[in-house]
Amino acid sequence: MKIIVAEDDPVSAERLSSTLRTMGHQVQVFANGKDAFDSFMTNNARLIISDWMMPEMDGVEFCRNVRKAAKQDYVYFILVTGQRTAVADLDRAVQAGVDDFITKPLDSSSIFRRIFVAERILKFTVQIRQLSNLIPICMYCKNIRDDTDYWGSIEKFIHEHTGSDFSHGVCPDCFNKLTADDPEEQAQT
Amino acid sequence: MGIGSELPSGAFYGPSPPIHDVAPMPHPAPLDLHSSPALTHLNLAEKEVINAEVFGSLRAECPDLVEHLVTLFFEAAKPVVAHMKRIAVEGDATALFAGAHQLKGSASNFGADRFILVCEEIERISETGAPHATQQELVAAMVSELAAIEQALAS
Repeated sequence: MKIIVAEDDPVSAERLSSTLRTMGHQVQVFANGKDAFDSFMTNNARLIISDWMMPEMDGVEFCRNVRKAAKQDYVYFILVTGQRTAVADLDRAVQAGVDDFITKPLDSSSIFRRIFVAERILKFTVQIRQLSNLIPICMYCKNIRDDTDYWGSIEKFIHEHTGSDFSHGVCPDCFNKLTADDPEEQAQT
Repeated sequence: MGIGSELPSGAFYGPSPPIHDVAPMPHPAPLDLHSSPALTHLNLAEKEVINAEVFGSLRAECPDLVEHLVTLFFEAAKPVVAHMKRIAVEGDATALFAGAHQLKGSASNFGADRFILVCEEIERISETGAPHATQQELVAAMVSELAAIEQALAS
């Protein structure tokens, strides 16, 4: 997996990237949030590990910008924090879109665990995207099952998901079937 | 100042100078940990220069990388500390905070507990305000602790 690391401390950057490469990942390292974000916009990295305080763009602003970019594939964002980070700051980070935290001092086992969970979540996001492209429809009555297991009409489903409405008419084939027993009605059209 | 405050760009965040431009750390005068008013409440004497457990974990996890990490640490730390000595005279709280924060994170990789405590104290007084003399005393403590780390790791 491609991973972007944004970390201005060379020791922490080296330690992180070394661990990630040992796990088999491709790692790009940047010393500030702006360069990391610029790279993110031009590549398909699915995981970002960012320090908090950095020059140019800090980690929380970096995350906020990643979420605003709203790429099709979900990007998992891990923020590296100090041990005594204030609760209010953690809340602010989560609200900005941060998914998880790694606390300094870094250690390989906690990095492994966080990446393991990130990979699992990213697999789920792919599955969700695939499933959302399949619509469960009854092959007999054409009712559609929604997220709450309710079977409703196709018109209702389309309207709820697209805002479109239907103007109801009768196609030629159905008209012919319906009026097969009434030649007079057929003759009128 | 909280974590989200504006930080100055420049001095700390440019590339580190080549190692031959960085003067070796002088042997520090013994740091009086018991009587310095800016330091007594930190109880530094009770802490290790290098936390054996943290450093031991680092060595166990990446034995081939430790020496390189130590080199990286001093290459980055020495110019930052030297700069902090200069700006402590001017009393630039924002820049002191930024420098201390950067070094604290780096030092945490090695378990440099006393150095980290001094960095945290510099962060605290940078936010709450403190006399220049206190800032300078703490930066002097940082210089001393950095030299102690160098001696500890060399042994």
